[in-house]
Amino acid sequence: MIDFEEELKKFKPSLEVEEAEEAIYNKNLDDMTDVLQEMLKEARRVQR
Amino acid sequence: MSSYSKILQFSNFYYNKGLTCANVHDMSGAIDNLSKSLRYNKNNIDARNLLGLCYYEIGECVDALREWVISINLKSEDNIAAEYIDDIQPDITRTGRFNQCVKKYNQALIDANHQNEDLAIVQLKRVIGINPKFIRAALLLALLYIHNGQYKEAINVLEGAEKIDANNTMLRRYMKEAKEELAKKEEKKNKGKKTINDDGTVAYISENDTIIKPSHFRDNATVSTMINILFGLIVGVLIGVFLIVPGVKREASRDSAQKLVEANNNIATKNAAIKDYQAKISDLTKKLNALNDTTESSNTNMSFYKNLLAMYVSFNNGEYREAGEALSKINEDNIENDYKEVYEKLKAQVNDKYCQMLYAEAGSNYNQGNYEEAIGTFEKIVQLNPTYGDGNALYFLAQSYRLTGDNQKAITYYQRLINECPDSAKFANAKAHLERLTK
Repeated sequence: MIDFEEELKKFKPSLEVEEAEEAIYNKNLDDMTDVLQEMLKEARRVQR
Repeated sequence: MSSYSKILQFSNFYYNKGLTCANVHDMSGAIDNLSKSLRYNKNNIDARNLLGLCYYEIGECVDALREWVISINLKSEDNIAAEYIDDIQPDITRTGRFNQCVKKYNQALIDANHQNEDLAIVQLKRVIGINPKFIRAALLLALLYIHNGQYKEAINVLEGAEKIDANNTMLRRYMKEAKEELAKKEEKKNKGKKTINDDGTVAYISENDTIIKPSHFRDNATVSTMINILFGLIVGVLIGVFLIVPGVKREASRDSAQKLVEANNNIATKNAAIKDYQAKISDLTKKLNALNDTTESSNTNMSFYKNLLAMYVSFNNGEYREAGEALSKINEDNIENDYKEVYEKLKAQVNDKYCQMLYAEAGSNYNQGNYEEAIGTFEKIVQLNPTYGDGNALYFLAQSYRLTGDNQKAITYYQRLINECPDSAKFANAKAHLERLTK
């Protein structure tokens, strides 16, 4: 049985065109290569 | 194989999975896989463009636009994302089709959260009418239908959405719920059905009881006829009160809800138009201010050149007083560097002639004992050239003040003569007067 109130909470407002610029700037673009590079940097820092 | 190659391989693997899902209209699966592909390699342009297309397909235009803009930023040349953006450009303006859908959906969500479900349903039906692919709106509409017990309507909406996003988990759950509830409802209805037996009797099944009615009634009593008529009237009134009136009321309420939605839509559209106009007014005001500044600057320049011309003409005509007065009105800040040297030469010539004239006039007033008038003229000379006449202007100005009894000012000007013109013929006199006055 669906709990209407709980289901309704799952719906979030959709992004409007005015918010597109913000959505583009706030998008996290890090990929696996960035993560690996960050890990290597940290490992080198620890070795020193 | 290097780690980097492995990462690229993973990215391609998820891209292929995403492409397969997109081909069978499983947009949720496609979005999930393509997002994973980009997590491995953000520069996978095909995956990003396809992700944008999937978002566009389920009516999430801003998300689609975001992916395409990022895609163009990562690869500006020979990128199909530019064409996609050009194609949807008219629909994604502030008053465009998709943005209106999003605004209406957001308003419907607010209405649903405030228990205005009728309003929300009307609003969402419009959204689906404009953009039938807007999955999020379809799901919310289906949820509201299920909550209102309108299972058939919910199933219709979900079947429409299913054609676009076949494996959406939420959609599947709502569909299952709607179908189950509809089956229960049908079952309840069937329980009240009547059956006609072979001997002509009619049997009604209600819950666990079977009611059998004889095949013929003998209706030979007037009283029973009257009772039937009365019963008919009562039933008629009851039907009117309990069935027709609520129906009319519901219709009226639906009409007013629809009108309210239309009014809300008009307001939203007009608000957007007002915003545009306000932006235009602001632009025009800025332009007007810029023009005013330019005009002011032009007026200042015009005034400068008028005074300069007046000075030059008066000087050439030998009207040295007028030339001097015009010179005093000129704001030297406005002179351009190229003309400064020429201006300085002209100014020196005008000042020289003007001072000569003023000195003669001041001397005449001084000799006639008109010290007040002499003071005014000598001060003008001192302002233009403090050492004029080898300090004579300063000396006679000091003298004039002394003779009118203003010893303080006389001291100031004697002192200036001593400081600024130590070689003046009047130096000794000035010093003697100063000593006398300061004793």
